[in-house]
Amino acid sequence: MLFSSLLFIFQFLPIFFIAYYLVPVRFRNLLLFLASLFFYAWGEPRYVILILISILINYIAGRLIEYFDKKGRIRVTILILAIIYNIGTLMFFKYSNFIIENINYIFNSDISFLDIALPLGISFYTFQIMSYTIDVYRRDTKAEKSYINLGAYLCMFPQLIAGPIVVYTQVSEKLNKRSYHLKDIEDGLKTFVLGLGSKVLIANNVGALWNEMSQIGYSNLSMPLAWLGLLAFTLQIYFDFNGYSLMAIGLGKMLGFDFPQNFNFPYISRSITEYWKRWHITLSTWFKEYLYIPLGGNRKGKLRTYINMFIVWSVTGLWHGASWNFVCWGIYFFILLSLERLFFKKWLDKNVILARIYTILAILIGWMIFAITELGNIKIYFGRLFSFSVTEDWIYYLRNYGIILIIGILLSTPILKKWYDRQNNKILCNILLLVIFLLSIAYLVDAAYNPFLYFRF
Amino acid sequence: MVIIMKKIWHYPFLIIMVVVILGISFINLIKKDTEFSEMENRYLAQKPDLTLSNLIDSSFGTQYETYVNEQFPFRNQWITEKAAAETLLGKQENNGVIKGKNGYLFNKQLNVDKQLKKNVKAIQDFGKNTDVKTFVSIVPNSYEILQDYLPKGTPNIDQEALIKQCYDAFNQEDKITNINIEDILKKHKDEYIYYRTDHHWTTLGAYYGYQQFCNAQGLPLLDVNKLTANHIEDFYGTYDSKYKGIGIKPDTITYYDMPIEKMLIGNEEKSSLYDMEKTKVRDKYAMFLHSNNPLSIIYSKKNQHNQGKKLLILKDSYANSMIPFLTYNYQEIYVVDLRYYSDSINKLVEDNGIQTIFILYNLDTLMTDNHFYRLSR
Repeated sequence: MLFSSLLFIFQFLPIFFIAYYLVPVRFRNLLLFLASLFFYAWGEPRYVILILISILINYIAGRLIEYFDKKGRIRVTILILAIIYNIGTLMFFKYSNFIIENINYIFNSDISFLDIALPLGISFYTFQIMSYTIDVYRRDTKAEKSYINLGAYLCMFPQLIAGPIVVYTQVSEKLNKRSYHLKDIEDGLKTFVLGLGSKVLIANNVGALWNEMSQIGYSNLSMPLAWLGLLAFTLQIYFDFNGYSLMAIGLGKMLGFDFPQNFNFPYISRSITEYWKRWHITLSTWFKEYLYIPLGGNRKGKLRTYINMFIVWSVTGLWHGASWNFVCWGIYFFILLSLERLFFKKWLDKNVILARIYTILAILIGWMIFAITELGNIKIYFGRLFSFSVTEDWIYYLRNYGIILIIGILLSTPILKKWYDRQNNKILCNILLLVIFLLSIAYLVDAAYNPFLYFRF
Repeated sequence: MVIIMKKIWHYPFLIIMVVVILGISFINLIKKDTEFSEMENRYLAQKPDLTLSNLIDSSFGTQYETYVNEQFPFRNQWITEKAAAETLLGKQENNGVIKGKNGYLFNKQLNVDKQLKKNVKAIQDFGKNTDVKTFVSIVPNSYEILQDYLPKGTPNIDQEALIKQCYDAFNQEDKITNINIEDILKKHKDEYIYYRTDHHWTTLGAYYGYQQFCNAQGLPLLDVNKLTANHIEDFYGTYDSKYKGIGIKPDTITYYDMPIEKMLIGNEEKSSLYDMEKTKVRDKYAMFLHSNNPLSIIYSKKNQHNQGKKLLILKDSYANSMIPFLTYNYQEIYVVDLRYYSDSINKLVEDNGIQTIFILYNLDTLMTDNHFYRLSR
């Protein structure tokens, strides 16, 4: 089930929230847990059991680690076993076929692929539950005594499938005791509508442009059209992902939780260093906290710092998908980040306009590597970007998508937010949100293209 | 509870949203399911059955979501709202249909379906195995002939080049003769030869096609001016059902009085080529030849030109508006739609002493139809 669907908004949502607000407080987490399992099972009936086992193993690990508080070696062993289980399952389901493919390529063997599907949201929930176990080990938090509470934390439907990656310590307090006020519910609903509009009105729209690039065939694209297509994907993935995160945050607020921000207008960045502080913030935070710092961060000398960065960025790339282009994408950013750190960050800070142009270009090219899985096709597309071949095809697409592209570009900046914050009388804002909601419903009813981009995660 | 009731007035947005969501959910609950959508000219999804296997392979989930979407309250109004928004955004297309000049709607076709190669080969193979003279015509679609009406830069495929490729392939078979319809349609492109809202050619377009067919064989031409014309107004065709936009002007269907002896569709006997019942519903083009059937046999009224002449026509729905003219030249016409007819074509030809075969398809259908394997039976 997607948030951006009529089924969710007009059937799941009303039924769930009426039950949630009416049920006695002590049953709220249980209801949340069960409803979230139902939500998950709707899209993925076969792998519900997997997520239940994941909760169980990490729950036991957490309690045991706390129980053996004085016995260092036992604690470490339990932690390692839990991590092996978590990463092991993730690797099995997500990367087995990738590994087989590469073994076949290197050794010319012919091992057949496994017939397994990727369980929904496994990359997200694995990282979340690992943050819990590791934090218990680090004594940053007490172990969760209730399996149901831990289950509610891991499974809660707002962030189960596509994040934001909510670390246990961020919500443990609210997990046990939360109250909410009408203001929170209204704010949550407003955020939800904003997210819905982002996905349905903007992302789905410009996404159709990008989609047609492959239908026309990359080698047939004129140069202006190739750039238009790339711009379309850049906007699609931002509005889709940010839209989804906003919907998650909004729903979380309605439940009484405060989820962390996941995107902060990444496209206004003046450097790639800044970009990664604004894009998918919860992911880079997770990697910094649980991979970069344990590796030593920047505390073990210059060479080691860059090695650590290389490892973190390769893994970041790989996390996004079991394919080499994603790894290249990660390493691409490692290179830019290292160069900025070593050489031109200071120059960027002084030359704002050039810095923005550089950053936008770097982001666009980055998305090209991300969006196209086949390395051969990436070469073709890159060639088209600089082919200087101009036919008339871009005129058609500019006419059809010009306005929505401009709207997308404008909304990638804080312009709307600043306007919204300046309004004292919120009537205009409410009307705007209502219009967005009603338009989104219309687009959902007559929807041909409503993709879920994170099936790889 | 009382506190909530007092404070809720501070949150008008919340109130409106709750009312809207609960209101629509409630209407959804009590509303009866619609079976057929006039506007979209198709059947809408009904409630799926809940079985254990559906549940586990998540097909129930997908079907149920489709069901919710298609039975949503005020569906037609929401569709129109989206179309209006798209127009405001400057979009020239909606749901895969392009709106061009002069109120013409066009199909959007970005690439060539792989099926085309297979179908061309199937026709070539048929040409190898048949003993009867076979004519082939590929009719270009409106987006090819009326290119000037397309928005600038429309990335549709080049039909002219494709048709030429197909004809080159057919030329390799001696039994097959190509009949080029493109040139004559191009010559008359400023006339009303294609419907604005439908994927078919008009009766006038079909007549030009008929002219080429006769010229290729040196057959006498039926003079359309000597016939009685009838007009059906308010025809909204297939493109309109898909486009679902606003401000579309309907088409007019012209058909000529063409008396026949009788027409057999399977075991049913019809006295006229036209199904006048269809003129009262949305899909008016289906009035020609009673829509598409596996095998129809038309027995024309005898005249000095068609005695003893028999024709087999393998076709899609484009031919339906041309066949009335052909009754002037052929006393018996066997109309076969490969999508529904799976018996041996060669046997049909042999058993009935058919002397001429005509394969007539429009390119969009020729590209996608996957029933040509039946030609080899």
